[in-house]
Formats: sequence, C-alpha cells, structure tokens
Amino acid sequence: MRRRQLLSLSLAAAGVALLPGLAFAQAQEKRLILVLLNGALDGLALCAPTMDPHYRRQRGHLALDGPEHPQGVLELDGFFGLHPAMAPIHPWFATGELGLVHAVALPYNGRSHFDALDLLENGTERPQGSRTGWLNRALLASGGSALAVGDQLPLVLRGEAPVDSVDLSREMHSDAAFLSAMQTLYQRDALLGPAYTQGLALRMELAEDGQTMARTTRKDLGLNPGLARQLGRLMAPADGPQVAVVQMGGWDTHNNQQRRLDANLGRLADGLAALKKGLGPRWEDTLVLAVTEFGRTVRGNGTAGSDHGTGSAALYAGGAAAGGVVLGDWPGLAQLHEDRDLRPTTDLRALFKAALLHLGAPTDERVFPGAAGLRSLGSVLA
Amino acid sequence: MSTAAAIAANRFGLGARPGELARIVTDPRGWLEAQLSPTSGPAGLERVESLTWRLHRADKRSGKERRDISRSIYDHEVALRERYAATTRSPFQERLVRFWSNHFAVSITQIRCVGLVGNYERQAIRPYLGGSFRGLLGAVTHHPAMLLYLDQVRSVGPQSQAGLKRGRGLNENLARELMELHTLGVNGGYTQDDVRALAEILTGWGLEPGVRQDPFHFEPRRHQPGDKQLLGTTIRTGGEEEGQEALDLLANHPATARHIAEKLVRHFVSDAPTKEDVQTIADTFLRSEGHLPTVHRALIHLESAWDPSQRKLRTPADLVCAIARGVGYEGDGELLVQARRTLGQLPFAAPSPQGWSDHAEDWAGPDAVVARVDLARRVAAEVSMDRSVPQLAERLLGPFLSERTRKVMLSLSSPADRLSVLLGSPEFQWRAGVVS
Repeated sequence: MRRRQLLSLSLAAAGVALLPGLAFAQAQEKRLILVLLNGALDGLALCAPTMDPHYRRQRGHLALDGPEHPQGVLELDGFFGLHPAMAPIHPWFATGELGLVHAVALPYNGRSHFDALDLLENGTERPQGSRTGWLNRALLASGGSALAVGDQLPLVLRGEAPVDSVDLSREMHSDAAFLSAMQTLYQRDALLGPAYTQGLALRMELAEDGQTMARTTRKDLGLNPGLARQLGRLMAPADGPQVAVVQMGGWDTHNNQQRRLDANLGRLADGLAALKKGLGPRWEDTLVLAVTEFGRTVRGNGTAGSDHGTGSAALYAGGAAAGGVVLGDWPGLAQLHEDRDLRPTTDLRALFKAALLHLGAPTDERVFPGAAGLRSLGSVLA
Repeated sequence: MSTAAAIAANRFGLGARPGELARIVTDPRGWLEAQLSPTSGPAGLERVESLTWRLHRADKRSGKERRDISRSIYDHEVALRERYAATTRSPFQERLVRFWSNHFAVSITQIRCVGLVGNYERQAIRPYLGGSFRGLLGAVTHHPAMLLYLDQVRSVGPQSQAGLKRGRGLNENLARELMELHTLGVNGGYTQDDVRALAEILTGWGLEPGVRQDPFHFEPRRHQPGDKQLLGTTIRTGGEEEGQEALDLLANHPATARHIAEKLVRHFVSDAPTKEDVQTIADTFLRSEGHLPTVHRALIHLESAWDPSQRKLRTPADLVCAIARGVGYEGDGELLVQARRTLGQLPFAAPSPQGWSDHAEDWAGPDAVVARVDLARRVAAEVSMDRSVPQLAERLLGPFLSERTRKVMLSLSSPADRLSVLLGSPEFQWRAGVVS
C-alpha cells in the first residue's frame, strides 16, 4: 500500500482534502472472481475425455492427443486431460487450486448466444426473465461490494446493489499533475466530486510509476495478464471489492478451432496465473469461476471448428477451491443430446450457488427464482 | 450572456458552438421552436448506399464478408452521424432524433443489426418526428433492425401452418418490449396474457430475404389464426392488419402518454421529473393524439426547464458532441466515434433494449468521471486555439462558468492547459445548471 500512501501525501501537499481511496463497503475476507467466457467455450477441448471409448470416433478431427504425447493434453485424473494451452496453471490441479466441472449447462434448450448469455446472467429460467443479475441480487442481500471490469456493467451485476466499474483496458493519457489539479474543481460537485476522487485514487493505484496514467493493454483480450494482475492488486486489500466480473470473448470457434483455442486458452491461463500473483495472500480467500453460456457440437463441422451445442465444462480455481478433481456426472459420448451435443448433467446455477455460499450470500428464490430445489455444488469449496 | 440562451443551447441543444449563444440570445425559445420539424440529416451517404448494395449482392457469400461489409456500413454511418450532430444548426431537433432513437433502441450487440442501425435512424426515426407517435411506432416496428434485434423474425404462431408443420413457436421478445419499453411502460397495466396475445398478433411480421428497398414482409403461413384479446379489446382475426390495430391501441393508450411524458421530461429536464411536468406533457400527448412537434413544443414551455438550478449530466455521447461543438470541430466524425468508444458509449451499442440510461448515476462511475477529464486533456492537446480560451469559456457556458474554473484557467498560461481545464471542468459535464 505504499503507492496509496504516497498519493495521499502528494494530494495533501497540494492542499486537497483527503477522501478515502477505494471506498468499498466494509472489509470482507472472501473474494469471488467470475470470468464470463462469452461465445460458447468448447468444454470438450478445455477438459478432454481422452479415455472415453467414444472420444476419438465422435470428435473426429477435433480430438486431442492423450497425455502420453508430448503435444497432448495434460494429465488430470486418468480419464480427463487439460488442454495443453492451459499448461501455466496445470500444476494447480495437483495442489488442489484448480478443478473442473463437466457437462454443465443452463436450463435452456435453444442455441442463441444472446438468449443464453442473458439467462446465464439474469439467473431466471428464461431469457429476458429479469433486468437485474443474480450476483447483484445476492450482493444486495449480503451487502457485499463488487467491481465490474470493462466498459459496461454486465447484466449479472446490474440491479439495485451499487457496483463500481473500471475499464482497466482504457488508456488514460493525462499527466497525474493535471488530473490531481482538477480535483480542486471537482470538490464542490456533489455527484462528480466523490466519484472523481475515488477514480483518481484508483488510477494512481494502477499507475506503475505514479507519473503516467497510460495503459497499454488492448481491449479485446479479456483477462490478459496485465489486466489480471492489476485486478488482483485491487482486490487484495481488506477493503477491496469482494466480487469482480470479467468478460472474455473469442470462444465462438466455428472455424480454425485449434489455433484459436491455443491462443485464447493460453491467454486465460496466463491471466489466471497473473491474477493469483496480484492477489498475493488474498488468493487463499479467493474462488475464481470461469463459465460459458453453452458448449459446442461434439463432432467438428466442415470448417475445422464446431457449432453451437449444449453441455460444456466450467473451471474453478483459487485458494478457497477444493480442486484436484473433475466434478459432475460424466454422461459419456455414446449417446449425444439431439444426436449432436454433450448431454448436460449439472445445472450451472448449482455452481453459482456454491460461489454465493463462499461469499456468505443467499442463494434463495430472490437470487435464483424457481430454483429453490436446486442444491449447490458445495464440493467445489475447500 | 443570458441564462436562457445558455439553457437553450446546452439543455435542449447539443452544446453551444462559438457564436451560438450570441445568435440566439434575443429569442432562445423561438430558436428552439424553429427546430421542431425534421431535418434532412447527414449528407454524403453515397458510400453507404454502394456498400449496402454490395451487402445484398453478398447474400450467398461468406458470413465473414457480410460481417466486414456491415461493419464498413456502420463505420460510415456513425461517423457521418456524429459529424452531423457536431455541426448542425438544429441541435434541438438532433437531440430529439437521439432521444427517440434511444427510446426505440436497437443495438449492434445483435450482430445482424450492425449494418442496419444507421439506416434505422435515418429512415424510421428522423423523417417521422414531424408527425404522430403512431406513425413513428409503425415505422420502427416494421424496420428490419427492430425485427431482427428483438427476434421477431424467429416468432411463429404455434397453430399456424408453419408452426404445425415444424413444431415451432412464439418468440415474445418484441411483443414484451413493445409494451414494456416502447409504449405502455412496465407498470402500464398489461399482463403476461397480453404479452402472449401481442406476440400472436405479430406472428408473420418478418423480412423478405434479398429484397433491397422494403424488406418488411408479412408471412401468412407463420401467422397464428383466430381472434386475440389484447388489453381487454378483441382483435378480430385479420392477418397483418391485427398488428396495425394493436399498434393503434397501444399508441393512443393513456399509459403510453404517461410513459413517454416521463421519459421526455427525464431526458430534458430532470432525473426526477415532477408529477406536474409529467402530467402536462402527458395531457398534451393525449390532446394532440401524439402529435410529436406539439409534444416537443410543450417541453420548451415547461417552466422548470428554464430553472438554472435544474441540472442534467451530459452522457458521454453528449459530452463528446459538446466538446466537438465547443472547439468548432469540422472533421469527418471518426474521432468523435473513437472518443465515444473510449467513454463507453459507442453509437447504437446500448447493452439492452432499454437503451442508454438517462440517470446521472449511471454515467458517474469513478473511472468514468476521470476518463472525461482525461479526454478533455487529450482534445486540448490536439486542438490549436487561435482565440482566447477564457473568452471561449464565456461563449460556451455563459453564466454557468464558475468563478473557480475561470481562476484556475487564468492561472495557467498555455492555451492547451486552459482548454483542458474548460472542457474538463465540472460545469462542462452538465447540460446546464450550476455546480452544486
């Protein structure tokens, strides 16, 4: 926290009244980072059932080599293997900091990204079923604080509970001296004044050298390492935000799936590793969930890719995770859903409920209407 | 400089251009009244037209090619649109275009809308602001951008020929938003049964593939047969006509008048509209049968709109436009689109059918406020100022320029520093109204 102290000093020297830096509610230990893998991640590529007797036949040209090959999947539990691009975090599986849940899906039978994403975030059983998100409703009840990373507040965080947002990929070009000087003008504005002070502190915190606000990350990379490390650092302090939501696209691999997943999964793994670094000791209190709206067809299509499917896989990680396992009832590949997709066996919302239990937030009808009977997948928690 | 002129240019307009306040000071209300008729909108769309032609010819080509062309159309459309807003002499009319375009929001978050959103505003919004709400409602509901954005093209009557044959059914998206967002409002007294009835009424409304000029197409084979009950009124079985009847019913409903009135007052006057103001506008709406110029004129004559203590925060879109107008921008518009992207409000990219928010809180997040000031700094670094900045400040903000901002400006010597302070000042973030 040296950076913040330095900033406080310089602002005090400039005659500016000191306001709390990041004014996120009361201190809370637990952290949740929800990564939305928008675009439908191929769960069978993330977590490949290479020992399933029907794997090679059904997957065809999309089948990955087994762990015995140098370029093959990374050993998980003798049945499943992790995509090779996930190598940076593969060791976490052995230490219990990484786990997977297979054959997950939402209560949704269509194959529209738009509807499925809406449903994933609104927490009801139908698209456009709510204009607020399940995570916001849970935080409203628990009083937890949240931060959205990116341009716009994702639906999952929209609602009555106040949520902060920061576009960590937005470059700022002004010199710190100018931005600090402008604070004297903003002090008198009841709405913009406090926001300006808080935003400036946040930027100062992010600035590596305290002189420039510039960020060089590109917008479209989602959870890239630079952004992830900063996010971790923001969430680490006791009064940091309890929840963060990050969106990461690029999973809609209708063509050239292999090349695109190599790049994108590699970025996800690097991002998660950087997040852990940024969080420091706070990693022990952290659960990371990476989920997608639906899976992809088991068989490849005609353009070296796969089309919209049903069941997919979810990833969970963190010091608060009970990893080292691939959870979920494996439905096998002998029979496919509608003769094309992985049959779903676990409701994604069971995983969301576990994440809320981790935070000490409610999981009842207010949060997931109509899902009172759905049990949480508590086994993801240590 | 008169307060009324500054309010007219900033609250009702898109921010003063240098000289604007001086021109309108004698009759600010008259200046606004003269802007109640539709304008022709941006010129120079030949490139867009030719791209649209290519898009139609590309029907059988790859999805990527179609997406690239659509993206090109979008880029051209929005650059011309932002440039037009930054330079127009009818900024109040332009604000109204943007209000209605946002009220009937379509968004490029639906990828098939990317090449259509510009056309949607030019053809289904702009020309209709001189007529009735019913006319506008009809135009937007028939436009392909709306039919695609709210999934109407996928909706099939379960008992229609096509529904029975292929086992397909209703998509309620458009029906729900038509009532919740476009007309009655969420508390407008309709039920789930009404949503379903309206969805059935609208089955068959869709697009004819490959037709260039008027791709709206009614497909009888998808239309749900039988009479329907909508809001207690029986709509007799009548194919395409049922939808027209339903729109008549919704457009002239008292709940619609209230909903529209509240949104207009919130947009132009206050985040928290008073009951009296909403009632005044709603009454005007009902009395004039939704005649839009009459309703818009009534806004100008709300007393509260001229109260200097009423303030509305500029959205990022408004801010970018006000900055461009303030510095006399004459470029091709691309920079303005980029600036809007940086501030998180890319044109036609609202995150949901609700459109962009009209509440200050939604645009005053910590990072967002600093980003505004950062933008001001960047613009100031690139604009060469050949006139005195403190004088420009008076000419843009009139009496709303605070003594404090003026002093900070004068304490700096370089024109760029002074301009950063002006454009980044709190009073520049508000459409009008004293910093408090």
